Amino acid sequence: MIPEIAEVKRFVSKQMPFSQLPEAASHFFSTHIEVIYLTEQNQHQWLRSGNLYLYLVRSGSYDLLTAHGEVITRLAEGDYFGYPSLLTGEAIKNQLQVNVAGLVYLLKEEDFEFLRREYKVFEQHFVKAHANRLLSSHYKQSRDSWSEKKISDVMTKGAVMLAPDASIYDAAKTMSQHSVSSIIISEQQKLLGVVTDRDLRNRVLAVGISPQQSIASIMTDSPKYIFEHNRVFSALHLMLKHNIHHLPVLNERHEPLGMLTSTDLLRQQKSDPVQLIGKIYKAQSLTQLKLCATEIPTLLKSFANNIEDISLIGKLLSGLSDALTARLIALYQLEHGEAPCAFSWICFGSQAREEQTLHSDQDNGLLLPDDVNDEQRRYFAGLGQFVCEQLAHCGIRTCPGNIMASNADCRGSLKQWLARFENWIAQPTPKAMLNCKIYFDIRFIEGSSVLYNEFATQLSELTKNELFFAAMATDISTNSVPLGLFQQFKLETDQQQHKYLDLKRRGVVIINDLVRLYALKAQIYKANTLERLDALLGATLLNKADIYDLKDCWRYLTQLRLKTQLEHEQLPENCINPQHLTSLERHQLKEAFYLIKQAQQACAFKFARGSL
Amino acid sequence: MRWLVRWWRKLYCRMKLRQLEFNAARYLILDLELTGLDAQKDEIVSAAWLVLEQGKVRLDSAEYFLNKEVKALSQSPVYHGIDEQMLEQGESINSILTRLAAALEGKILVCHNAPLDWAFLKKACQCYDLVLSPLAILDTMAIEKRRLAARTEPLNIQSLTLSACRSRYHLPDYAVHNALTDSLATAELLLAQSSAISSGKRLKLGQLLQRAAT
Amino acid sequence: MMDVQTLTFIIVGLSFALYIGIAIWARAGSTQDFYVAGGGVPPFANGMATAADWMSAASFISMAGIISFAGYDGGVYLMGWTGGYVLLALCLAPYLRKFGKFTVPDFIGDRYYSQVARVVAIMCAIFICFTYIAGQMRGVGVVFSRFLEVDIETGVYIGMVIVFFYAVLGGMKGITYTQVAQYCVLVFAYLVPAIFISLMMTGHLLPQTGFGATLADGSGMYVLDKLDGLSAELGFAQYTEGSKSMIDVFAITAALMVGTAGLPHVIVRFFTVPRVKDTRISAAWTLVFIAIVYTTAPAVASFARVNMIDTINGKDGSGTAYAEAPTWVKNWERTGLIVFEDKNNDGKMFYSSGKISDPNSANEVQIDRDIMVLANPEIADLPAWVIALVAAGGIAAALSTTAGLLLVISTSVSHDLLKRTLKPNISDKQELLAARLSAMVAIVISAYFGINPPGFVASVVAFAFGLAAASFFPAIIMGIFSKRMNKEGAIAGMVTGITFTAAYIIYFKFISPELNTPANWLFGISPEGIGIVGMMVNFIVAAVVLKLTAQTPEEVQQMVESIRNPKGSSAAHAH
Repeated sequence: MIPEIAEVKRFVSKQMPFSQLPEAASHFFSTHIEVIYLTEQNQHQWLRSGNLYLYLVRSGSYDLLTAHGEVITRLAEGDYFGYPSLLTGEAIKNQLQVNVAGLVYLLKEEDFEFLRREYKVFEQHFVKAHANRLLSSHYKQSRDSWSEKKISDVMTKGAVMLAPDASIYDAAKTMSQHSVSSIIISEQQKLLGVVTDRDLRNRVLAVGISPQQSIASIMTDSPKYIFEHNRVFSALHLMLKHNIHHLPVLNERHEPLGMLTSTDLLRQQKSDPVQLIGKIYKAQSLTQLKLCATEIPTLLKSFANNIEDISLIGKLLSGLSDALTARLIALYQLEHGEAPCAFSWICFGSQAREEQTLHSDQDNGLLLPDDVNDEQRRYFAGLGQFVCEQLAHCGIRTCPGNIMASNADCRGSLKQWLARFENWIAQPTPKAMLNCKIYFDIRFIEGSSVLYNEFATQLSELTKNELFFAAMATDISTNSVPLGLFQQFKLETDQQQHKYLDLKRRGVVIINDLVRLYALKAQIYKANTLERLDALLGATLLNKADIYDLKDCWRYLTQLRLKTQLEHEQLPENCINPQHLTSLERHQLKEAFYLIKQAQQACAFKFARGSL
Repeated sequence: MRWLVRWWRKLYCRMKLRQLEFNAARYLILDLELTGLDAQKDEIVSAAWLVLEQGKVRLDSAEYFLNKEVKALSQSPVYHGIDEQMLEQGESINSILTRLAAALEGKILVCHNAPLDWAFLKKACQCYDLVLSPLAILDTMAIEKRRLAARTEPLNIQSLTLSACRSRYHLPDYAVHNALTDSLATAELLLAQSSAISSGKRLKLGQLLQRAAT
Repeated sequence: MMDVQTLTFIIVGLSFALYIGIAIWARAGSTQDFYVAGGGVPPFANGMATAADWMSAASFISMAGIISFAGYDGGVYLMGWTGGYVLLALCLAPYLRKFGKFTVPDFIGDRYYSQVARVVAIMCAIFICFTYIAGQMRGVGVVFSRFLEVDIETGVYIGMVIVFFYAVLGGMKGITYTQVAQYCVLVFAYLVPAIFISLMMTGHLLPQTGFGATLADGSGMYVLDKLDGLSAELGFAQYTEGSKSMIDVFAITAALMVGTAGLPHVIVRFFTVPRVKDTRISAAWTLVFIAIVYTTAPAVASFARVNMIDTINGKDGSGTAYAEAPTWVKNWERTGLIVFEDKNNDGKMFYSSGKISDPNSANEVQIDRDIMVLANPEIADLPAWVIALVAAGGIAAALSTTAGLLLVISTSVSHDLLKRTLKPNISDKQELLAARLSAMVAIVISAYFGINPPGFVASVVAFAFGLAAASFFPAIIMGIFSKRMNKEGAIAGMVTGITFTAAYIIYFKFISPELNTPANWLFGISPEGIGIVGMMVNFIVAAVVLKLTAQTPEEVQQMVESIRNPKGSSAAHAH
């Protein structure tokens, strides 16, 4: 037996998937690998076809690039690469770029195959990782886009820096002298922290800290950073992911060079969503507003190619719809005078879930106070009519089910809305269930939030009804995933005899429905599916692993849906033909459907005491 | 005359070797755990080695042996954590050295602080009439010492320990110390050093062997 | 002409194919559009499905058997069960629905604002379900043992496997139309032989009228008169009189009634109908569908008994030669459910009162009551396919009820106990696994009781009802109708109620069965009826504890108030 090296074994057994595998697997891995020191000079030697390896980063930092030099992902300690070729047998196309040299573990192809055969979890881990890689790279395939530029090309050079022992007052003075919104705190050319003008506001003024205190006490320490030779795309991703607006830029020796701000990025991007939303809010007339609306499809197209997290696209579109709605309400008030009483404009369905697509239709309503009189109702009838009509002109289709504020049923007082909901809850007929699936995804857009919160509180009181949950669970379980008895796909056929799988209706929708039910039960007032799932982590209704599984499934199906939609257009919307997928993708799709099926069963079991 | 020929051949081989590219050679990275630092009276407790070829440390080549013939462990368990019970499962020093001799065939021996290890090995070999014939001996400590001297940084003993050297190359910190972990640590250090010295150009063995002990 | 066994395989097989076919059709997804268009399951169909849930192997196989042997005394089951259903449909289901709780333990847990109360209720539910399933397993075992011609033990094992596959792996429970199909099979299987026999014996098409009519053999005698005559002749109690004391009859009936109302798997059925109005209509239909079977039972019982005595003792009442015994006697002998011992060595069988083991009794034949319904078509010499049909009906009755009960047990164990109380962090997969395992364990345990029954199917089931009567029913009633009842009272009541009842039953049925005579009974009430005393104990203990402990919180009182006052229900009618 080959002796194992304790340090290697300890590191390996902490990594996924080995942390979930028996000890024998990490022993095998740590006695069969080879160790290399990956540097800028020898990087071309590795990741080449001919001899395939699984690579595991032990130390250092590298960027994985496509053949065109676009960044796919940043690799650091514990990250794997090289597995796509091992799994698919396809030639290696990606290349490496070394940021910081370090140690990498290599596992030979035959040893990888051995582990893959021996441990299902091992295989699943890499199959899943490969899927994520494929999907995320799909949205980055557009070339020569601004996001492919290097940071050094777009950043403002010259770092404004201060030592950590400087006072808050010094920092404010330096910032205003250089007229910058943020400052880097460093010591001996090493990045220590960042302070922004927002920090000065929130952490100093608002709390009443003395400006004589050291700046180190209020800085964001060990902030996120980026290297000068990284792509703009990586910076954008980091900013969106962590919701930050300032990124220190470092050189290879980790010395601060300057600051990259979100404004720097916006300058690079012609049709930017944030700008467009700003433009919408500033629009002074209907014509201006409609002009903004025409930009949405182009914006979406350019944006869709650049974004890693697919759920952002739905959020983006919903954000635009929200802005349009809010502006239209304001325009109406300009023309017809202030609203005569408090009101809340609310939205339902996909807009509320922030899952809107270009094809989504309007689902909205008006919530009025209980003491609203007929004259006031007339005002709001006009408002509803106006906004819905104009939204349709802006490209958001009217609702075929007439769930719109232009419909008197959807312009109810607090009591009327509650009575509608109560009726569905008390008598959960299939039709009521259908309504619940739309109306229980609800979000406040404009008007009085006090009124809306009152409504939300009373509604949550109403929903505490186990019979209603049971009816919902039963209803969800009547919608089955397209898997047969032997885990084969069950295809549907359209009039043109195309065979297809409906990813939305038989996948995403089921997850949405399940999550809605759990959220209602846990009294979570959110409409977005992923946010609901995150909030459910705090409740005991669902196990954490199950929540992560559902999130993965949701993302996978949504992304697959968008990906295939672009490629095979003759099929119905949101549908794919599994024959166009690779065997790996088919395998993953089945896995996803199987997980949904299990979640569905468990849900029916928990809420409706349904079949086992 | 024969002596002259042998000397010439040796000299020629060494010249060829100095011209050899770093990655083209094969290395055996060795680490010994000792009962003390005096080769004349102290003993080898354990030995471990790894093969490095084509720039890759092969962990499947790892070997680790305990010397069951240790006479007096005295205070040394404090350092290596090996006690007499463990030693009982070891092998005779003769068989360890025989294996090492076979493994060293055609390879360059690499140690951190090679003179020490080499002195112990030579002493042990004398007893069993064995000959270890590495192509050359590389000392990562000597290499590091030269690099530091060039940078005119203050030198002391502490800055040449294995872990101090490693941290200079941002290599991960290893908590556990035994002969096998240390031989991997040495191998990784060698890779990092060679990469630093080459600075993008082809690295010849001669650059590393300079003034290294033979 | 095919033999009975082949035909049984075919017909039972066909009925299973029907259930599975419906399940596949329902799962295909096409039904969703259908539901939305049609507004759900019509109350008529839901009524049938509830009736299938309701009617267990006890109703199908054993009730007529018990009436047949015990005569008038057996009628208590008939009255108790029917009354229980009415009580449930009228007094409990509507209130529980307004409370918005899906299961009885959830209701009790929330109403009594106590996790302990909930756990006690869960335990009671599991215990009751076990007892009930045990009765079903025996019923299934009887069917299989006869038609596969094996002994009762093997029959139970086979039934165990089939029930497991049907209820746990098949996942067919919860599909209303499978239940509807089961009801149809069940009622058809019950009525066909009854009508045949009624026509043969009395010339009446309806067994219900034939029951009160004169015999068609030309004697002009009423069926019941003939039975009374035979009973007197053979030393049994008068068929139409009964031997039980009035108080015992009353107690058993009442225990059955209130116990039925507390049975967990039936209550759920009332909640799966979306509209309140439809709930009432479907409850009415259920009553009709139950009545069809229940009113036939006494007729089936008396016809079967007349026929049985006639064939065994012969037309002249002197006994039939064993060598010439009809095939059904031989067939059932193989299962061990009929035993013949020629005590006077005359080579003839003779049936009369008394135990076969008692040398002073003239009785030479021992007949298990549970075979009466199944053997009835054979005794009457009906065609083989009718016999096969009855087997299919018996299995249908047992399956639908067992599946429902197993679900209650497995959800109680895996969800209520494990997920919500003991290990909140288990995953969905583990929860489902736990559910399947607990169903499996439940089947195995109940199969043990099916093989070694503490009584006949109907009386085993009666115990379940007695336990329910002593535990759930008072807690539910007090929870709805008394806003002052607090958790301490309810828990104490449930615990003492179920303990008292279980102890009484166990004492007389297991520890000292020889003492099980009216003389030793408390107030002259048999173990079957003791549930009602348990209920009283429950009420009293609860009331006493209530006096001694803290008041119910204000918000709970308001909640109870809102259930009972009309405002709560107005929303349901608003549309």
